[in-house]
Amino acid sequence: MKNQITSRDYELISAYLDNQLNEKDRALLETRIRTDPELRNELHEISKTRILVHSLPQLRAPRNYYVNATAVQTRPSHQLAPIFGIVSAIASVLLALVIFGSTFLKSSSQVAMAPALPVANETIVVQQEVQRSAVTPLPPTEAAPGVLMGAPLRASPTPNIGALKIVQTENATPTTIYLFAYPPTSIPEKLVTLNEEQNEISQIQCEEYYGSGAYPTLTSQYDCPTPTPSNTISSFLDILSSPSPTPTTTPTPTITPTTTPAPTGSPTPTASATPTPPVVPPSIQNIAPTGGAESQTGITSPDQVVSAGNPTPAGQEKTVNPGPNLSFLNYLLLTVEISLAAIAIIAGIVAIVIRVRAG
Amino acid sequence: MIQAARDGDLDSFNRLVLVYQDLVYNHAFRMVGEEESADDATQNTFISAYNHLGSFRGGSFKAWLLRIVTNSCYDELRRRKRRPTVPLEPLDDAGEEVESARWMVDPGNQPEEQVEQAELQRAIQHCLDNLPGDFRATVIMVDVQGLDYFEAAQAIGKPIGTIKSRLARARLRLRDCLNGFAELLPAGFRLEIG
Repeated sequence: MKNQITSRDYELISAYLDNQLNEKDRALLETRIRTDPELRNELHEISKTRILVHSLPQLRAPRNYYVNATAVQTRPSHQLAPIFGIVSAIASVLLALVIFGSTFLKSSSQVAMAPALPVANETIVVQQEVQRSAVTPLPPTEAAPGVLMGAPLRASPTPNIGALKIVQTENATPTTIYLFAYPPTSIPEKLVTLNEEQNEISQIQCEEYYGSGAYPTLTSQYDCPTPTPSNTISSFLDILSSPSPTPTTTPTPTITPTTTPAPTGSPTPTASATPTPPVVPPSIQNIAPTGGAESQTGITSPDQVVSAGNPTPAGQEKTVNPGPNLSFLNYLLLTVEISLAAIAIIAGIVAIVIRVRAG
Repeated sequence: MIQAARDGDLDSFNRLVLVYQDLVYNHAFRMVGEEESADDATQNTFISAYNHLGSFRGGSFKAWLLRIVTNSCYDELRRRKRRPTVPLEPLDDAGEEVESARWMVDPGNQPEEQVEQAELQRAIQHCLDNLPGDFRATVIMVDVQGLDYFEAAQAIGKPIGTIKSRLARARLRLRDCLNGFAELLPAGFRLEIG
């Protein structure tokens, strides 16, 4: 019988004891109470409980709680804690939005920023590593002329750290070549195409030079590497006529920057990084001498620097400043981020201190 | 007097304080079950009431004050929950704490009837303290302070149906709790359930 009494019945009993039922509900409940002893017992129990709680004495205030002017005007410091907390939260949210927005802005404008990469004034920058990465590996028969000029073939499109930039001063006669080690940077496609065209022209001129019989008398008119038996036309024909050139692969993608010690105007740093190595005849490897420690450090010794007609004064080499390229927007974003972070941290700490002091 | 206090008359407000301070303190004490906390809650209630008199839009000033003191007691209970305090209990001859010292206080020269009455009040207060905050505030307003359902709904800020439901469930829990103190209950009030 007891489980028949629902929470609704207890609400009716409670309201009945407080005289809060309307006439209809009161009549229905009184009828049930007369016929249901369990419900009647519950009514008595709740009534006793209500009377017991009501029997608690009315306590008197131990003192007078007058409000004076100073108590009213003095704002409790702990009431400021939520304000500081809200300020800290807002600053944190704004900081997150700014960081996200700046990251999105940088990623979206990266392509547009590429042409603005630093290029030395009035200098022609040859990034040999990027150039090599842009050149598609050719079969040995087609790559041979290019190899004759010491143009290295490299299948890896990604320049490694330490890739070399060769800065050649404009109108330099003879040419001064400086080797610098720079972190990998992207380079405009126009510049790569220009370098490829110049390299092809040099190759054609050197082929004519080797084949005209003027060699080695007119070395000053041709900027060609010192000929070896492997980079003459006869040796090239020998390579073509050989039935099966022994392929040599260089699996390790190590870069071996070199410079040609001879007075050649065409800088030909070579690298043997070929992750997907093409077939290279042994004779081709011979014309790509590995540079010594001096050339690897990027500091050219006097022997390696080709004398320049328009020499750059000592200590005034034109170099590319690899420093940060932050625009005004970047500085502004950085300032905003730092400010918001400071506000969030300070306001949060103040809120915590106030709450701790207030208990 | 209320209108004068709303106009900034501090003396008028202090006369209101004299009228309602017993009610506010009694409600605060039943809510938090501790004199010091009740004293702080009462003081904060009147300061907050004076600062927010502009938000009083007529109706029952008593219910409005009870709403403020109830919220102040909730803050006090939350603060106590964050930093629980252990009351200092006296030590016995062996140097160990005497548990439930308040229940074992020497009644002295008090008549036995008064002692039993005091113990019964502590038992009821103990059961009130075990109620959830919403239930406790409702049953104190209706059964201790004598508010009707409409005033209680105003003070708590809930519909009358919610007040009815909370009150019924609070009384049911109090009945079960007081059943454990049957020896303290007067003969005519001993509950027969259990």
